[in-house]
Amino acid sequence: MSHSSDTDGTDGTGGTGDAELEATSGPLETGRRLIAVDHVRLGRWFLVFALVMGLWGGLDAVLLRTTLVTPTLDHWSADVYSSLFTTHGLTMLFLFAVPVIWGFAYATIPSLIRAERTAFPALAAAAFWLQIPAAILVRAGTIGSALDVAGLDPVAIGWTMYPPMSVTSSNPAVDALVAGLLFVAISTSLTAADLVVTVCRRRTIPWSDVDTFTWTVVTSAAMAVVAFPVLAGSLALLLLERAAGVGLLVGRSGPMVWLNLFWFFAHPLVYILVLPPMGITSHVLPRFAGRRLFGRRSVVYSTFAIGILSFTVWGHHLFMAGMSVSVRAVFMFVTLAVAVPSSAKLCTWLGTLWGGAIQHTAPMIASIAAIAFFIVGGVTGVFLAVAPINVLYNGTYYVVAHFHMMLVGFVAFTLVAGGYYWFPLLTGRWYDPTLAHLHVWLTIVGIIVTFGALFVVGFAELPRRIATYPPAFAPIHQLATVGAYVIAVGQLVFLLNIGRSLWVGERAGDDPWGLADEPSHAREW
Amino acid sequence: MTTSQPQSRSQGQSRSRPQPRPRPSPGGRFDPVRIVLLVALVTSHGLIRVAERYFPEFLSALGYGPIVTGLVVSIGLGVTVIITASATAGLNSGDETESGDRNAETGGFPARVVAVVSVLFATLGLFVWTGAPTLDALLGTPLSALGWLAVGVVLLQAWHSFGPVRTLWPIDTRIVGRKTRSTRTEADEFTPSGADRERDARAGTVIGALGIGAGALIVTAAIAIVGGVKTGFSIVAATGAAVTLVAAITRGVIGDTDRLPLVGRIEAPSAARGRVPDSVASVRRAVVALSDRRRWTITGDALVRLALVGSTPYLVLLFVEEQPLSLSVGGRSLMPAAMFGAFVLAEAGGALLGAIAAPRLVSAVDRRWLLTLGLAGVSLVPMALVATSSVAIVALLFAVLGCRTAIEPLRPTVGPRIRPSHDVSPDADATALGLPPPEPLQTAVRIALVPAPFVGGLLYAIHPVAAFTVATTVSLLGVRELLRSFSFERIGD
Ligand code: HEM
Ligand SMILES: [Cu+2]
Repeated sequence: MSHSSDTDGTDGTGGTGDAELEATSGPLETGRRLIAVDHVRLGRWFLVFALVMGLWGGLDAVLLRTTLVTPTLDHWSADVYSSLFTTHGLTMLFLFAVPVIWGFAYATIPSLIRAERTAFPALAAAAFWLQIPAAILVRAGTIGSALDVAGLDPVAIGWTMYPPMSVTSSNPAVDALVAGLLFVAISTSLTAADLVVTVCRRRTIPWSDVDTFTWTVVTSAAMAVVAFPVLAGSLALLLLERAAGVGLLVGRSGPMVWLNLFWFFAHPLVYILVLPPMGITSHVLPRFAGRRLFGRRSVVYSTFAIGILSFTVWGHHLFMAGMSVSVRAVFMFVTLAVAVPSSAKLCTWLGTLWGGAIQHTAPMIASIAAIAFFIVGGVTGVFLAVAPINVLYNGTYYVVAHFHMMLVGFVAFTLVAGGYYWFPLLTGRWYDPTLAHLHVWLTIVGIIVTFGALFVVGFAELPRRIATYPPAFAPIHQLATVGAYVIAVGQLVFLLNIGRSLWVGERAGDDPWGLADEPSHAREW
Repeated sequence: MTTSQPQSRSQGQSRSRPQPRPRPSPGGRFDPVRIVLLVALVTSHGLIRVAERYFPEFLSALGYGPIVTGLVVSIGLGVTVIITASATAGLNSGDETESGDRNAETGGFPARVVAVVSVLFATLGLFVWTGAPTLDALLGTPLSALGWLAVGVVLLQAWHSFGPVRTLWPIDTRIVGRKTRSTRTEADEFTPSGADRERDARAGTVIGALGIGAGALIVTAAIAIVGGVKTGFSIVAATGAAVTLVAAITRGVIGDTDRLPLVGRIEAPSAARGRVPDSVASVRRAVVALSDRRRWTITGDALVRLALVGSTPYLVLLFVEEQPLSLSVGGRSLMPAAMFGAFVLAEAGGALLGAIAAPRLVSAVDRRWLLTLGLAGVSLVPMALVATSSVAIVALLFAVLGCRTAIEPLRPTVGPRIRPSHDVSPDADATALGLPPPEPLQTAVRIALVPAPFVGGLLYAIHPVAAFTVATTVSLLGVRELLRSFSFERIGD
C-alpha cells in the first residue's frame, strides 16, 4: 500500500483505516499524515468552528434587531445597518449552517455506512483549515473597523452582492470578503467531494441499507459539488471585475448576469442546507416515536427529486428583474413542483409521529417544533412562488419571515435537535435535560414571536433592507426584537449546557439512547 | 410547556434492562436551571427598577413635566395597594391581630401559575413601555404616549405585588407585596437556609443590589452607545421584556417537579399584609394601643420613607436636566443621562456594603442610636445632592443613600419582620425596633406613601430645590420623632 490509499478506496471493505495512513511514506505522505485526523474529531472541529461563527452571526442579528427598536435611525448610520445584514447573512449561511452540516456528516456518516474512515482524510482536514483564513477575510471589514484599521469598513453590499454596488464599492474589505468567500467555495467543494466519494466508495453496506440521513447528505454534497464551483467562478469573476474591470458585470446587462449566476448557485444552496436537516428529522423522529420511519423509500426518492429540481428554479428570484411571461410561468411551475417532494417528506414525518409512542426528549421536541416551522415556511414559500404574489411581496419583510422560518425555524432548529441527539456521541457525555428543554422552549417561543412579528410587517408590505420605517410599525418591530433577544438567551443556555456537560456531565455509554433492541436502531452508536 | 423527563419512558416501550437516558443533574443549589432562573429574575428586577428610575426622564424627553410624572408614579403605587389588598380581601377575617400565615395561601392558584403570570404581566408592561410612543399609530387608539406609559405602569404592578422577586432590595422606595412568613419567594430559595429570616432578608438585599447594579450597567451602556435617553430607555425596556419572558419560560419549564423541592411556593400576599383597614377607626384604635415609644419610632421611620418615595423619582431629572453632570475618561465622555446610571450603580454598591456591614453594626452599636443616626444621614442626602456639582461627591452621596441597607433590619416599616422567637412584649427591648407595626397601621403607612411622588412632582415643578429641601425637611421631622422616643425611654418603662 503506497500513496494509493487516499485515492483508490475501492475495495469496498472499508480499507484498514489509520494503519493505512501510517504505512505511507515520502514527504507528501508525511504531510498528509500530519494533517489527516480521525473523522469524528474532524466533525467536532467543524461543529466548534460553526458554533463560534454562529455566535458571531447571531451577535450581528441581535445588533440588527437593536437598531430596529426605533423607527428612525437616531444614533446609527444606514451603513451600519446594511453592513450588519450583509455580514449576518453571509456568516450564517456559509460559516455557520454549511459547516455544521459537514460536522454532523463527518461525525456520523462513516459509522453509519460502516466505513473505517473517509476517502481523503488529509484533504478533508485541509479543507477545514482553509475555512479559518476564509472566515477572517469574510469578516475583515468588521474586524478592521473594530481595530480601527484605516480603510477597512464593514461591508454593506448585501449578502447577494448584487452589482453595481459590489463592483463599485471602494472598500478594500469587499475584496477581502469576496476572496474569503472564494476560499469558502473551494473548501466546501472539497469537503463535499470527499463526502460523496466516501459514501460511494468506502461504504461496506449495500445502498439499500443506507440510512436516510446519509442519503440526504450525499445528495447535498453532490449538489454542492456542482453549485459551489459555480459560486467560485462567479466570485472570481467579481474579483476580476473589481481589480481589472473586465466589463462583464457592469453596464446594462451586468447585473442580470450576476443575478443568474448567483441564484443558479444560491437556490440549490438553500436546498443543500435544507436536505441534511430533513435527514436529521427523519433520523431522530423514529428514535423517539419508537417505530420505523414511515415510507422510507419515498424519503429517498423525494430527496433526489428535490436535489435535481432545485437546480431548475433559480428564476423565481428574478421575477422582479423583468422576465417574459412564458419564462416566468416555467419558473413558477418548477418552483411549485419542488413543493411536491417536500410535502412527501412532511407526510412521512407526520406518518411516523402518528400513533407513535412519543418520548419528550429535547431532540424530539426540537424536531417536532422544527416540522411545524417547516410547514409555515413551506406554505409561505409556495405563495411566494406564485409570480403575481411574488411581485407584491418580493421586497418586503414577508420574504425575510419566509426564509427565516425555513432557515432558523427548520434548518437551525433541526441542527439543534441533531446536536442533542448526537451529543453523547460527540462528547461522550450527557447534557442536562432540563437545561436542554429550557433551551428548546426559549428558542421555540423566540422564533414564534420574532418571525410572527416579521410576517405581520410583511403582510403590511413593509420594505426590507431599510433601517427606517413608519412609526406605526415600531411596536411590531420591537416585538421582533424582544423575540430575538429571547432566542439569544436561549443559545446562551445551550452554551451553558455544553460547558456544564463537558465539565461535570455524566458519562454516556455505548448505546446512550438505549436503542439496541428498538426497531429504530441505527449504526452510528 | 410541561416537560416529562426523558427517562420516563412511555409504556409499551419498557424493557427489562435499565434505560440509559440523560438524567437531570441533581437538584440543589447548583442546579443549572435554577441558576438560570435566578439570573433571569434578578436581571429582570434590576432592569425594571432601573427603568423606573429613568422613567421620569423618558417622560420628560417625550415632553411631559414632573407633575404628570408624579401622577403616573403615584397611580402605580395606588394600584399596588389596591391589588394586594383586594386579592386577599376575601380571606380577610377582619381582626386586627396579625392573622399569620393561615391565610397565606395562593387563593386556589398553583404557585407556578402565579409566578408565571406575574412575570408575564411585567413582560407586557415593559413591552408597552417600549412601544408607548407609537402604539397609537399602530392600533388607532387615542391613548397617547402618556396613556400607554400609564398602562405599562399598571401592568408592572402585578410584578411588584405578586412577582417572585418582589422583596429584593430596594423595598423602601416603593410598595411591594410583602412576603409572608411561612412561605418564601424564589429569591429566598437560593439563600442557604430558610430558618434565619434576618439572613434571608440580607440575602434579598445583596441579590437585589446586584440586580440593580446589573441593570444600572446595562442602562448606562445602552444610553452611552446610542447617545440618548429616548432610544436608550426603549432598548432597556425591550431588554427587560425579553428577560422577563425568559424568566417566565424558565419558571414554566422547571414546573412543580419534586426534583426542585426548594423552588416554587410563590404565595399571594398574606391577607394580613395587604388588608385595607376596615375603617379609620381601626387605625386609630391600633395607634392608641401602641406605646408612645413604638408610635414615635414608626412615625419617624414612615416620614423618612415618605420623603424618599417622594423625592427619588426626580433625581434623574435633577442630574440630567437641572444640574447635568458628565464625565470624560480617556477621550470618551459619559453624557449626563448615562452618568445617572453610574450613580445608581454607586447606590447599589453602597447597598451592598451596607448589607454586609449590617449584622456587625447592629450587634456592636446601640440599635436605637444606629437607627437614628442612619436615618439622619439619609435625610440629609437630598439637600446635599442639590448643593453639589462634583461627580465624585454625587456618586459618594448616592453610595451613602445605598448604605441605608445597614439599618434596614431596624426600620419598623421596611424591616425583615423579625419575630423574636420568644414571646417578648414588643416594647421590652431594643430588639423590638424592627418589629412591624400592627396591620392597620402598616396599611395606613402604605396608603400615605401613595400621593408622595405626586406631591414631589408638584414641588419639583415649582422648583427642583423645593422638592429636595422639603424631602430633607420631612425626613428630619421623622428623625425628630425618633429622638423623642429616646427621652421617653429614660422616663418610662
Ligand atoms: C416549499 C419550498 C419553498 C418555496 C416554494 C420557496 C419559495 C421562495 C421564493 C419564491 C422566494 C423568492 C423571494 C424573492 O422574491 O426574493 C424565496 C426566497 C427565499 N427562500 Fe424560499 N422557498 C422554499 C423553501 C425555502 C427553503 C427550504 C429555504 C432555506 C433553507 C429557503 C430560503 C429562501 C431564502 C434565503 C430566500 C431569500 C433570498 C433573498 O434574500 O432574496 N426557501 N423562497
Ligand atoms: Cu429560491
